[in-house]
Amino acid sequence: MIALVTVLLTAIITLFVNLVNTKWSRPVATLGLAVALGVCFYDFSNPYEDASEMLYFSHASTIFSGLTILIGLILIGTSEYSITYAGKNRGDVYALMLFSICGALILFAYSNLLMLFLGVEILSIPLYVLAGSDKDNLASNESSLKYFLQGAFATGILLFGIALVYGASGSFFIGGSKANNIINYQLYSGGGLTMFNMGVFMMMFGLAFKIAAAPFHFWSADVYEGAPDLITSFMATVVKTAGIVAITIFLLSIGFLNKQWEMTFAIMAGLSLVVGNFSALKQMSFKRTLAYSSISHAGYLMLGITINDPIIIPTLLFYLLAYSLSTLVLMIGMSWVAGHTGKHDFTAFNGLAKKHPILAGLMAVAMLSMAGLPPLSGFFGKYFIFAEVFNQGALSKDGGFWWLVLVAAINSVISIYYYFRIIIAMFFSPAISEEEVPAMPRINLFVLGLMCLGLLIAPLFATQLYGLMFY
Amino acid sequence: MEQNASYLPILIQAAIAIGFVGLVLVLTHILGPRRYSKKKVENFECGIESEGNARFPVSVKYFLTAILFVLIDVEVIFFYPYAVNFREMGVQGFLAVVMFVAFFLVGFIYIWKKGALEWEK
Amino acid sequence: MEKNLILIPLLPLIGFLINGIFGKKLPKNVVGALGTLVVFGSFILSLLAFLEVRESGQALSHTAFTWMQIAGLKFDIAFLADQLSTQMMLIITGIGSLIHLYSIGYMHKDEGFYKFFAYLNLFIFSMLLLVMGSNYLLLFFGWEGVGLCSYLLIGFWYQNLEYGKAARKAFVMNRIGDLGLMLGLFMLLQHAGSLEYKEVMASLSTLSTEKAACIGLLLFVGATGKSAQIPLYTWLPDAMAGPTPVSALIHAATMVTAGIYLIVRSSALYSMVPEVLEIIGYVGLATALFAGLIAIRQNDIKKVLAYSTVSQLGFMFVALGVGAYSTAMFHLTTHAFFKALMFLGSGSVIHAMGGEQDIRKMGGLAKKLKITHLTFLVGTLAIIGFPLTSGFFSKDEILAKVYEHSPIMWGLLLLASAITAFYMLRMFFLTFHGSFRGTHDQEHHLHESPISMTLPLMVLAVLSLAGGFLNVPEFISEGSEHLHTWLNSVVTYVSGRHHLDHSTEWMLMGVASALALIILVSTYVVYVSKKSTAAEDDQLTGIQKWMNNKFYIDELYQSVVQKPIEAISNLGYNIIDRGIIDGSVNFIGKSVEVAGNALRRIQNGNVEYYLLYMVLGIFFLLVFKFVL
Repeated sequence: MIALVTVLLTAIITLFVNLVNTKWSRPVATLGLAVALGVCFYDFSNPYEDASEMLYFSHASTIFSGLTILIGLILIGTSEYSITYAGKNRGDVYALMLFSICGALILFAYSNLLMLFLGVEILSIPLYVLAGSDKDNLASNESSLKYFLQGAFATGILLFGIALVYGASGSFFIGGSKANNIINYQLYSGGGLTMFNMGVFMMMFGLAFKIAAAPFHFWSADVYEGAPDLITSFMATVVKTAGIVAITIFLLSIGFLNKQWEMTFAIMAGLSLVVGNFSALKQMSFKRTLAYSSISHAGYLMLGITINDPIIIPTLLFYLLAYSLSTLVLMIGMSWVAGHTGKHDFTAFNGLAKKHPILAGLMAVAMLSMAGLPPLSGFFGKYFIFAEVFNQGALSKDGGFWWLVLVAAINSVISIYYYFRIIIAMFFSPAISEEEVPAMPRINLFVLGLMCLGLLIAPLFATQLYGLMFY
Repeated sequence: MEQNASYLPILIQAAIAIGFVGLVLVLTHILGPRRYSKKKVENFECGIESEGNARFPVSVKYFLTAILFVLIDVEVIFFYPYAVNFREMGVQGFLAVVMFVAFFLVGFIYIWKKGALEWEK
Repeated sequence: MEKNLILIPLLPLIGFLINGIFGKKLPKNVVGALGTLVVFGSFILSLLAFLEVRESGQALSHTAFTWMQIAGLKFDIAFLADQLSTQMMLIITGIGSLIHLYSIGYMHKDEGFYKFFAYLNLFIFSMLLLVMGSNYLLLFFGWEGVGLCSYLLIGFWYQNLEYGKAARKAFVMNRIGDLGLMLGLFMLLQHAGSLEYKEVMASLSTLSTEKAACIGLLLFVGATGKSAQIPLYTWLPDAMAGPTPVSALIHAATMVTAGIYLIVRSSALYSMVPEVLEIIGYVGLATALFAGLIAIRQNDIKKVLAYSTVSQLGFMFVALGVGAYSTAMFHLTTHAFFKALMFLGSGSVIHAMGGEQDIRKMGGLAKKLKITHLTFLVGTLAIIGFPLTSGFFSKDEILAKVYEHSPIMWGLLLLASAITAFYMLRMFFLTFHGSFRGTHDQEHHLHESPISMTLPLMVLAVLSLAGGFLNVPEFISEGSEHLHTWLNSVVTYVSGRHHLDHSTEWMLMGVASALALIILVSTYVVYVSKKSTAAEDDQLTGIQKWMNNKFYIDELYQSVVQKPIEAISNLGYNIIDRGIIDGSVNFIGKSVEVAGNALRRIQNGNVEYYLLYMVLGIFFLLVFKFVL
């Protein structure tokens, strides 16, 4: 809770600092997030429950908050060069990112559907602006408008869902211990089950839009490609984390009512995997490939949701950690290269390993992790999800979603094809770009190195991570 | 099925609403006389001749002012229910509203400093 | 010692890593010294382990760590040094360090010097794993490891295509055997739920006889591959393509005895099914005779030794077949001594002859190569069973045990032993006596090998002479069957076998010794006094020609096994592989591409369409959920 307040205050302070001196905005924002990250530790030992049942900061939500704040910290901290497009408005960009993080923190802790809605809006509205923050760039403007139009549409669906749920249950509260939560109301008041289900579905569709799961993914490729690199990385990590956690919290609270639900999720998961991977195969632009790959990662996360057991929270956390870290490494690296060559194509990376072996090496590690090769975190992220799905399948009579795991496994093989394209470009293609890419600043490289190290050692601490969640 | 019965009135109302609209449209179509002329098919047919295209660019300043007005307007709207419940909500309610206003004030100062309120710049 | 057991295989591994990674940059003496010292270190440690086992009479065991744990199956990296293992360890590291020492001299001009030592160290490591593992899995690991090293070392001079082919042949033949071993191990695992020797042996009581026979036969298939028995023996003579120290170490003293070790290790299993032992015995006997016959008409010094190895391994399998496990181990040990000695000796000869291996081009080398000649003589005497040499005791013991079992088998084995004596002496006399038949250059070049090569020869010669006293038969001296007593606690004998009385044993020994002496004298007369030489290949007729051409077994295998397999594989390649498999793979690739393109077209950049797709998506998902 205090972390949330800290981030909010940081955002406001950044706004005003920017008015005084643009140069100070990044240090202030970074410092504020660092403080917020520290505060998370305090929050962790002091779970906060709002009296009017709006927010509940449990251990799990604090850890997710910490992850999101960390992502923000890394992004803003290393953004010295990737922010230059914003000119004098960079403080505003930072502030909007921080507001968006506030929305994410609310989504990790909501215990009331109103807060869910507010969280989604606080998360999204700054992003609509951020996507278009490169004002002189037509692609950025286009992506902003597209995101806004479709986002508004999805929000409408979400709101419609919430209304239906409220209509069926007469309550906004979620959470098992409350006597007046939506489940109990729904059961005791005899509200329409069909209506309730319909509401839940609409809500899920609205949230699936946020994590770019098929068939609600259409915005993502265009928006990711058009938005500035900094914002794309922010969307790919923070928004995805927030969305999937929001879905999970809601589904856990209503206890995954019946089997048929999972099937819909399984279909969405499978669709996301296939669509994301297959679309990524033939792209010219690395950035767009990453956008599609993030769709397929939404598929893995959706697959995780079919597990239908509280164990999904740590499983998803681990996956999100691995996914976010590797995405950040790739995006920051890409942003650096693209910032100097002006291209996001694969060819922009040709021969990078010769000139900047460390950067290329770190990006390769991140790529391998994304592709899910052992012993990197990406592999274990997938492995944990697959294993849990199998476990649940073994418990159920019909074998659960083993077929979906098969689809996912095949897709992760397919994905290696396009993930390796960048590695091949970096290591085996001769450089063709005339633009000289200068060496990345040491400090940024160091941060990337730390993240790669994290990718390497995170599996060692998986057990502890699981333990923290149930602490 | 019992639970669905309670929605019957809504269904009937919806049917009447849609039916009425449909009925009126059909009726005017049948009853109204039809004359086609150049002036008749023009947009905004109201006796005055129209000039140019309706879709011309308006300065963004108008939008800015309008949207800021809406924001402040919505803030004021929140005061109506608060005014009605002023006594019941007591000190805690007062503090909540003060916080709400303070947020707006911060935003107001920001747009002011940012120069959004200056017409000539 | 128990905790340090892991050091024994670890030392050669370290040697392998250092030589393998940095060897190219290190000077040759460092590489050689390092390679030799690590093995010698292992030898010292093995000796300590041996002493400790002897002291306590208890096996040493140490579990280093759990390798893997899968659904109730647990595989440990665990070492066991019992009486059987320590004996093998001593042979491997002892002869191994001698051969390493020898190689320093033998290989000093070779470019791949460091590679050679790295491979040798890796081999020692694998072989030690094989004999020291406390479960069949480690045994299998070592088994495959030595197979790999054998492949690498046979093909060491890979520039020669023939050598490469020989290496491949050895590898493939071994793989055939390994398949049998693997199947056997799977069956064991299925039955016992573990591959730990202790647990497997404990579970044998519940094993049905049919299954035991099946497992026994499968393990024996593995043994025939590694120990070059009929029908999988043809790779061993070809394996002589490798450098001579390799032939001595791998293809005479250690690796080829892995099959014997496997069967002795599983003696409890085999003793349940004497019928399988019977089969093993006959296969061994057939091999001993057959390989001996081929050896008579071979003219390549190493080929003769190779066939003699096959034949001697046959002797050991005969011993196993009659249930005399300790006797087989005894012969294994003495054979390791004298065969390694002779291989090294032949290496010394080849070295002196400048690479010439044909005994028809040698002769009279005794004058120039004194030490080699003497030591080689000791080896030859040992293998023909000249009284009081090591081979005399061990071979005699086999013959005695076989006689107990069946006099007919004994007769045939005695014949094999006579054949052995004949071809060994023929080779010895043709090489060292008579007049020199090579070129003038070679004669000029003849020289004794350096000390690093002759020292191992001398050590081995002493061992070949005295090794027999490890296990002097009971009827000669009471309580001197050291080896037998030593191994008693680890092997399980077939119950209810009677023993011969002493007079019969004396008689048998007399017959064998007399035979050896007669052949010694007659070959001396033929090859030295009458100076007859081996006939040229084209003068041979009838059976001799068959023998010279190794009974056309290679050709038989080629036409019966290889050709049909090639035909089937061609068929498979054209129809199944290219048509069906490639076709379907290409089809999948193509359809992925088509799907990718189709999906790309959907993503057309129009928000209207996107929203339409979303609505359609919602519609279909809801229809799926609520209607279907």
